[in-house]
Amino acid sequence: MSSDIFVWIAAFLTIAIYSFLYKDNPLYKAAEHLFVGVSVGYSIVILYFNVVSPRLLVPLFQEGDWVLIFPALIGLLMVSRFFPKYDWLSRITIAFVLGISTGINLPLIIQASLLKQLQGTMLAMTNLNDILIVVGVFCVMIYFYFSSEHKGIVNSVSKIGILFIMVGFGASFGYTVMARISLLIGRLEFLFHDWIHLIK
Amino acid sequence: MTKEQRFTVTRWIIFGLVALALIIPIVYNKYIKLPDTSSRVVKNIYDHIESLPEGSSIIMSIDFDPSSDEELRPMVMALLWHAFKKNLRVIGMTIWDAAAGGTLIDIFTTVAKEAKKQDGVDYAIMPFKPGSSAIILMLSQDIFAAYPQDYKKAETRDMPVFKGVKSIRDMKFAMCVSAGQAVDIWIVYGKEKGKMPLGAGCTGVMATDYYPYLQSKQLLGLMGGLGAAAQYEVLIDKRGTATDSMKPQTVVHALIIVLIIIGNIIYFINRQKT
Repeated sequence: MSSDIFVWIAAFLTIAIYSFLYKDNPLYKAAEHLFVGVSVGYSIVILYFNVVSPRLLVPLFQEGDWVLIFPALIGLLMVSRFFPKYDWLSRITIAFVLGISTGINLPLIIQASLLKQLQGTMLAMTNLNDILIVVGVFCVMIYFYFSSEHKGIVNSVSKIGILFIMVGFGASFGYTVMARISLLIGRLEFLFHDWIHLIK
Repeated sequence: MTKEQRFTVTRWIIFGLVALALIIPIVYNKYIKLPDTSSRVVKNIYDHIESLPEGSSIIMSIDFDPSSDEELRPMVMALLWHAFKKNLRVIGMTIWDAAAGGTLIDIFTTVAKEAKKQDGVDYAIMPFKPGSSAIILMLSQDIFAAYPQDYKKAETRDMPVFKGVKSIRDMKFAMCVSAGQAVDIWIVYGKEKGKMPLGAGCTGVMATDYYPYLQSKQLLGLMGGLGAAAQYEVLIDKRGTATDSMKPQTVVHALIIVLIIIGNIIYFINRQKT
């Protein structure tokens, strides 16, 4: 067995989390709360030392870059959310962020997520894959078309659409199983290898 | 036995079977052999890196935290090893705060040490900066404005690894390995502005979301989950944790298929009875 105290702590927390399989219990809750707390604490430290200190405090107070007061003040307005009487001030910050992000994002998102995707479905249909893509997109679109009742040909096409959707769900399920089992394998390997040294 | 008790017992039987299907192959790993295969979407990334001339610059965005480490670390390690073996210059970065500490630095330094590569000459690690999309937009204009210093506070302009590089437009390849939204951000901002070939690695859960981007050629290749990492290890002929982990993975998948079939048979029998 390992003589490293941190390995023991990690093993204890792993078992505490998996104890949920039996039922919800205080050990699981304690490990879960610890995880949330540590994650938040870690992010705060990272953000302070990578962002707040080098990008704001040092330039502002040591290098005299006073322009930074304006973005700092705009950011600080978000704290007004804690005071109901003045919480309207936070809307200035939200409006600023929304305005800038919408302006930057809109053209690029339309280009990358809409136009390029449309282009990807406009195929010459010279091979089976292309035919499957075009037919699949068309049938699934018809399935999600609710402006007319699904009867007759519309119903038949939408049922083909369901088949394509089911294939998509199946693929997602397979990948999800792989992802979850991967995490479980990782933990078991840690317990058997690093903790109790059952496997070399 | 009530319906609820039957459900509890069945649940425990399934847990037990999954545990056995995992533990036995983990303990007796060396006795199990799997065929060497690789999918087209994974091989596309391998082929592209293989085709790059020595000294080419590539950028790798490592955007996951320890909770996805089991799935994504083997993937990044295999990619990085391949890049180093090809003597490519690699810039490591992250737009995910939780990856900034251990994950990014640990993976790069571990693989670089094994491949005998030098920090600042063969590779460089950038510090975390917030504003993910803004950072990638900056990278498409001026990499030194986005990252004037590396994680050790050394000036990036002076580093040999950045020679001939002004922005991601000068990169021959960008790879984003993510457990969150980073791949989407790279597709929208990095690919659209940088125009460089882009590959993506993600957790298994997210993989199907990115297949449409392969069809539209916005992604050069895609690595989804541990399976893709194992395929890449086979391609570079350096079998590691992903290849080993695929053995219990395969046994569990077979078990789940059998359980699905049994579950469906029971469902149809019960339906006929009612």
